[in-house]
Amino acid sequence: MSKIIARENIIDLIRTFFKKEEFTEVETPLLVASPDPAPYNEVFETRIFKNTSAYLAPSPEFFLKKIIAREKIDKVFQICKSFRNPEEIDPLHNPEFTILEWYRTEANYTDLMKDCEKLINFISKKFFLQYPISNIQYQKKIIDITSPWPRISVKEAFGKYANIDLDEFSDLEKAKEIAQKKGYLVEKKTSWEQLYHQIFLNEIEPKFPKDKPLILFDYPAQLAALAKLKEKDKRYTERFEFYIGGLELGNGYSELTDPVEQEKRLKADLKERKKTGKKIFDFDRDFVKSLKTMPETAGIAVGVDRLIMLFTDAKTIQEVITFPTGKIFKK
Amino acid sequence: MADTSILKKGLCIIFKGEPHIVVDKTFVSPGKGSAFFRTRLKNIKSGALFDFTFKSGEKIEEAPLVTQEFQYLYRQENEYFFMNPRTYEQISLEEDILGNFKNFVKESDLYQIYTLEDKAVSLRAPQKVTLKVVEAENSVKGNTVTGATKTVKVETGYELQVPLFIKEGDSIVINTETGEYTNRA
Repeated sequence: MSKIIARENIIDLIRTFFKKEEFTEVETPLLVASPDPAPYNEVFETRIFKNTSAYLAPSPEFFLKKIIAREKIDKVFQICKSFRNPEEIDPLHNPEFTILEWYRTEANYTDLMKDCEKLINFISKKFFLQYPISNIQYQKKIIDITSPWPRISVKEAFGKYANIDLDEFSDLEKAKEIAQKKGYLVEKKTSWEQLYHQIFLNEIEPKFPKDKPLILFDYPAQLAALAKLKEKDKRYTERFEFYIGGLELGNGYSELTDPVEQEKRLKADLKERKKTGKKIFDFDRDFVKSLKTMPETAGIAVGVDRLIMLFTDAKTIQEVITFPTGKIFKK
Repeated sequence: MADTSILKKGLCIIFKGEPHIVVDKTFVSPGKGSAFFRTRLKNIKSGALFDFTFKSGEKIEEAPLVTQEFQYLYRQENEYFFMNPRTYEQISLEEDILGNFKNFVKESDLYQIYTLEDKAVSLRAPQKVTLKVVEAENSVKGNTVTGATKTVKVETGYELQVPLFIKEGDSIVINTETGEYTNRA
């Protein structure tokens, strides 16, 4: 099957799944004034009305939450393009990519984990039309996608694979000490987030079992993004990611609904952006205001291009995109 | 000292006190994270391969390499053999170290080889090579579409797209990084 047809089929199946589950499909703007200021994503900037800054949305998240908060729709989903302006092209990212996001109210991140299991099994069953339907072959590995998928907390993963106590590691000075002992280069400017990810990428992610999907949950508060902190332990958040065949496919959380805390995080992100020389803009005040009427909600983003990679056994994202950005622009 | 911006396939670095050659490099930016470079390193002394992910901007120490001229002899499976024309000493480089340049090595031609303590590390690939076209289809008469190309084979066996006016026996200049046609020699 050509990758173009596979893409069409998979997107059709995603839509069928969410309509069957009674989600409402919505649209949000791609051209925005105040994108998500996540400190490590650079945005694409353009101009509107001659000299007002406008940005291509790095995700539809803020507007989807505004819909949840104001339109009283309890389950929404969207499939759209999102844009992130990278330093370099790599085999897992295209600067312009297709994203799937869904949100359900009166729900938390464990409900989303179940949605992910159901969605992947639904697509697999309809896409391959073969038995046994619970196996996907990706890059020479057979993956058993039967629910429930194995789940491991970030703290357990750091303990099991890197022999690090994450409670202890959460302090920057302590983290520097631990990383240095392990032989990593630690400098004055080295950040906690860099050490966390360097250890994660070197010692943890490569050791994840590849014969089943994996749900990694309860991220440290430093990586909360827009997730809610855990009631019982505020050093961690109700955030998870899921992996299949080594591909990180989705990132979801119990949404932060506290407007005060949200404003604080957006401002902190903007401060971090300023420090690292990223584009600065005003934060989305309308989004913060909308949280006042937002019910308990859980939401997730899934990379559709990577889903297509998984189901078509493609090694790089460029193989499943008809016109990859790297072919249009030369560095 | 240099940083991760110099990382590329074939580069030789000092890592944990030992010389290593970079055999693969990919850029990674984990979701909601800063930038990293995932590399596959080969220890020049032991031959051991392993993966290491560097923080973007991390300091990198380049190994002090010496270049020597070698003549290309032949290929055996994924190893390419070269000889020092003065001492007749032979060395070999693996296919993944040569990268794209494997398509352009020509028997008995001379190449600059990087060495460290007399061990061959990698090949200093010229940006351009000139090779002779050994097979070319005749272009269809009257085909005047701008930008039209055809496939030809050069003397090393490599095939590429060239403009229609290129004939068998012509020498053409190829960019060794992109593998694309540059001009007629």
